[in-house]
Amino acid sequence: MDDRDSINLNGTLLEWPVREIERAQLEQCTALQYKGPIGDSRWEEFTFVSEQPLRGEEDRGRDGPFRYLVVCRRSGRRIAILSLSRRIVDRLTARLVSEVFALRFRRVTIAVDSLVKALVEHPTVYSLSFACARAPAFGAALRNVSFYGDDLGEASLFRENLHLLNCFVCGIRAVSGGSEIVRLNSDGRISFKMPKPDTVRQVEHVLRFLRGEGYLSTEIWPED
Amino acid sequence: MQFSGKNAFLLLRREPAPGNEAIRIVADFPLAIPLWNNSSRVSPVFGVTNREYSSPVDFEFPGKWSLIFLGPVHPENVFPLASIQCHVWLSVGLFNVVLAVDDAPKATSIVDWAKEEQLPYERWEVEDGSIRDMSTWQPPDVQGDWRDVVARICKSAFRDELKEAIQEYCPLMASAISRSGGLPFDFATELVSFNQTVARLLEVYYRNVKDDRSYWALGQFLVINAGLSRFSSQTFAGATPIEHTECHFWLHSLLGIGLATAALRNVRTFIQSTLGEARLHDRFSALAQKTNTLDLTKRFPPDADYLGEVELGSPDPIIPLLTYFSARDGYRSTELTVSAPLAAVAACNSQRWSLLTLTHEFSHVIIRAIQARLYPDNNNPADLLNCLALIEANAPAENLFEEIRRIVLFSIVKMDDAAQNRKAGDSIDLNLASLQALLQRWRQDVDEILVHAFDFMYFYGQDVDKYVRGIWASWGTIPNIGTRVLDYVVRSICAVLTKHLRRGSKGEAFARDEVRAVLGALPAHGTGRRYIDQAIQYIDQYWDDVVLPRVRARRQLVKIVNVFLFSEGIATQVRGETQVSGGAGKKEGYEIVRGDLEVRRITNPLHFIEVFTDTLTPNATDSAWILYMLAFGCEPNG
Repeated sequence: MDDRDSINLNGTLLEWPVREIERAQLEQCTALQYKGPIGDSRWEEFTFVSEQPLRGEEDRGRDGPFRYLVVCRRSGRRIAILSLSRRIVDRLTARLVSEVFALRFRRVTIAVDSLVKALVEHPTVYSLSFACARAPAFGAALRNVSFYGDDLGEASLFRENLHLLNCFVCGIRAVSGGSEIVRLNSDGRISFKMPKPDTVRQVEHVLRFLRGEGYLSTEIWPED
Repeated sequence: MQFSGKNAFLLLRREPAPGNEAIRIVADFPLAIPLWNNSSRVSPVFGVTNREYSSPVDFEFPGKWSLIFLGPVHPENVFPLASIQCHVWLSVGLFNVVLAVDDAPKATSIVDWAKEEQLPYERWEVEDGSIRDMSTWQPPDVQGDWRDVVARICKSAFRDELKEAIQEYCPLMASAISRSGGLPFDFATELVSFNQTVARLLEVYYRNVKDDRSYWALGQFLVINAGLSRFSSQTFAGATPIEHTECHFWLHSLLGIGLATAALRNVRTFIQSTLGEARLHDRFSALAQKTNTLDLTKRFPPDADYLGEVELGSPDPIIPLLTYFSARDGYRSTELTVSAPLAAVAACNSQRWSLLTLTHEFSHVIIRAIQARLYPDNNNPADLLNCLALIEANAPAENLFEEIRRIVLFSIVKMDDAAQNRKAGDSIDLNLASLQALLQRWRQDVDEILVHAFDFMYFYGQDVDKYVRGIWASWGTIPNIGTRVLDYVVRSICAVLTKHLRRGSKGEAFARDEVRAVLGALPAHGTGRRYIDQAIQYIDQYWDDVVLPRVRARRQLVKIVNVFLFSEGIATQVRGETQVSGGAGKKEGYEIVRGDLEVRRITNPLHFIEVFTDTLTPNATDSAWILYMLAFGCEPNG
């Protein structure tokens, strides 16, 4: 078993509105080193070298520079950038904009609320393993609720109150079983376990599903 | 790109030499005064921060420069900025991006990009501060039959002053529609729709106005003309050709405040598309179909989404309200217009000038529509006799609508008792004349209680702290309201009482304590503090004898809103925001940084305003940022 299996990757779907993003542009960033593709997928692995500790290494008495795993998937003007923590991704993104892109990236937002409601109303090959939502009608009296399970849509408690909720995070898993494939946040953040070629394919399928059904704010992830 | 907080003023003036105009940037408005002549116009411009460009605050355009005005466009959507170094300022006019480029081919590439994007622009060639040449964008004509509609309105056969008012309206509307052509905010569609509404009102409604009410119709037209005049001047001033379109908001006379009116329009559009489209007044009227056996004066009705359950047929289209800024009108609503204070343009980041106060005006619009059917018509003897019968029956009415009307009448009698300090059982004898007098006396008060409770529940989510701080901050801006403080205390406590109705007779005390706690925590000094001290005095010293009887008399009105006007399903639409990414933390889930001009979508402008107008101190830069986010983030078609 790969010791990286248990690593959770967090990142963001982004778009650079000016033109297509090339790997050469990423490599122009002095802090980013290309390592190679993940299996035969279109996902690419990099190392981000930071002078500043971004995972609390200073508490453990470690000196820099600090090297962090970064996983990317480019597609036209869009890119998914993931790493071990959101802080690393934010720092890397700022560095990319500062050194290479000048105009910053846009977040590709995910219509999580619509997605959750559609998955419940019209069940597909995916089920919901997690949902976090605001309950806006109740104002200060009741602000947020969270649900966990293997298939939330099958629970009437969830179904019958869904019209009173605005979901902003959800977890997706295959109806056929297995653990959660990917967790999606309405602001374009995604997270999943360290990808191996088969998990990459699952994540890729979910993202294509999102694109195909119009849940992404831009035409991310063309079927290339 | 972020607002830097370093702002300046762009000053244009015609020099004594014919055809010679000068432009410069000055750091502060007083510095513009010595340069002022009869042609001078000025607008504030806001600096931004970025590695590639700068925003000088004192700049005389030495040498050769191309000054390019672009907009309306989100500054991060001006893609040439990714590769061209230049000076950048932002305005709150429709030309909201101002670029100074000292390289003519690069300036041409920016203009070419604007042409390709079909984005309005102007390019001025400037040499040592003097404008040598101007090239402007030609707005396209607004298509459709709007000219025929205006002509039909103009030909309407009305007499005297009404005819004058209509004739004033026609060129005003024709100019507004013409100037809106090709603008991204789609003002044209709304103006054409508003014009059609006016034509319909003239043909169907005003034509049937009897002589004794013709001044009422005139009043309505004057309101429309005043609103349209302000809207047009504020929005389209500073549109191309800039040098020929002057804004009468003098501090913005060069570029206008089109972006601010777009922001205001987007707030209005959101409320109309949620609460407006919910057609609460139609749903409420449908309660007449619901059989009733409950005595609502004594019983709390069962939990139900009374309005949400109503099935609507095919209602008439909603009349688009004309939105504009006005120093004189401030926050004000009529059947066809809604205004916000002009001060909000530079101070809407603060609680006392927050655009969230608009919700109170929209609540008035909705309650007015409900009251038009619920509140007895004082000019209709049959209606009054029916009301007397309802009261005298001393039993539940046959249907829910009539029962609610019965508790309104019941409340009015109690409100009068409380005001006159009458003891229980000493209420006024009711007959046609006394009922008429009561209805007239208490109409506005009933409206206000319903509006406050409605506003508190739908728009403030029963958040006592935000609500009490917000309304008392806005009241603090009104001069000479010392005599109304008791009314405001009663209204505040009644609104908060919506939270405590189910706690029985102790509800009023809980509501009082919550309001008192927030008032007590407000800053010891500042605008409106004397009113707050007065309010605290009423609560602390006159609760039992003065305040409590008034609140208790209004309890049934609060119940009407809490039980019958509030729908959880509709409130989810009004208060929902799908663009949040977290829970109820510091920013209520928004991943938005104040002052940062990131391209972000906001589906609920009210939620955004609620979160980001949390300060006491007005700030022009923060206000401009809020207007940018509302104008570009909430653009309904964007």
